[in-house]
Amino acid sequence: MALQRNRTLIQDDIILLKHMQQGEEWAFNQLYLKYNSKVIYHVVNKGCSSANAPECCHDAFIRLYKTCRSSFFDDYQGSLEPWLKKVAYRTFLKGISKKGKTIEEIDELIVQVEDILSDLIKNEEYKGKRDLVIECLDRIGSRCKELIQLHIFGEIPANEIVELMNYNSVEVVYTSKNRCIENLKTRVQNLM
Amino acid sequence: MKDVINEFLSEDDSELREAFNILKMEAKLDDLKLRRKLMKLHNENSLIKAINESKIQNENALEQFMQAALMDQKAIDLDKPNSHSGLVTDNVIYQFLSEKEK
Repeated sequence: MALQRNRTLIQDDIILLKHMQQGEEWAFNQLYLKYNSKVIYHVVNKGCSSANAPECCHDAFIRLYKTCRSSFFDDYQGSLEPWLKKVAYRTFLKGISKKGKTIEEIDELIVQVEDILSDLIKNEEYKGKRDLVIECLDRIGSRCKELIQLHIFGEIPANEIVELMNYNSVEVVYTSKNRCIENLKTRVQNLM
Repeated sequence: MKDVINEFLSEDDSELREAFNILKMEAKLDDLKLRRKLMKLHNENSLIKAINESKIQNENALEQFMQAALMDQKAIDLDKPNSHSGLVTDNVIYQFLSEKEK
């Protein structure tokens, strides 16, 4: 009976993950409501304060959102619960003294980043370069594009990229990254 | 932010540098918006849980209180107003009994 229940839960996760990969937001919300309490309890049990635990949990869900289309989740067959708990715990270990942010603090940060961005985008030259890089990213191959997006723009560390993109080691990630950057540079220069 | 980008871009890569800065900033903004949304979901979820818990607690407390009052034979003698022990008013008892019948 319990085994049957576990199978159903795993099936649910896989179905929700597939919907998430297609960009359906309700599936992400569903997963959040399903697991957020469990992930928060997990990090609290590992020593995180209850004030900071939601932040660690949210980091894990943001990571899931960013990486759900990565090769790691292509053939994912298990429950997402252990993965979310692992990522949340890793965040807790990395930022043990990090204070959880309130909605008001996040709003302030959003305004600051939006201000900086709108200043940058106002500059036609910068905006043109940005659009050019986006165009070239689509031409360097899906794996290179994913690596640059996750590692450089998404700031996901190389050791996590190894798992997410099925690389053999951190060294291979660095080598691939350098190759992809060179490829991107050449394409940008050719189009300029 | 520039330090991470400097790690792999040389001084000659100014075209990429500016574009990368913008794209990184956009990714950061997406993260913040998602974090805000999750925080809101978390708060709403906690609020709903708290309301449900307090509702259950209130219902349980009322149930226990009324059971105790009903044990007092005078309290259920509704034909004789104010004949009970004074723990509960007639109105409350009427309300409780009619809710029960529903």
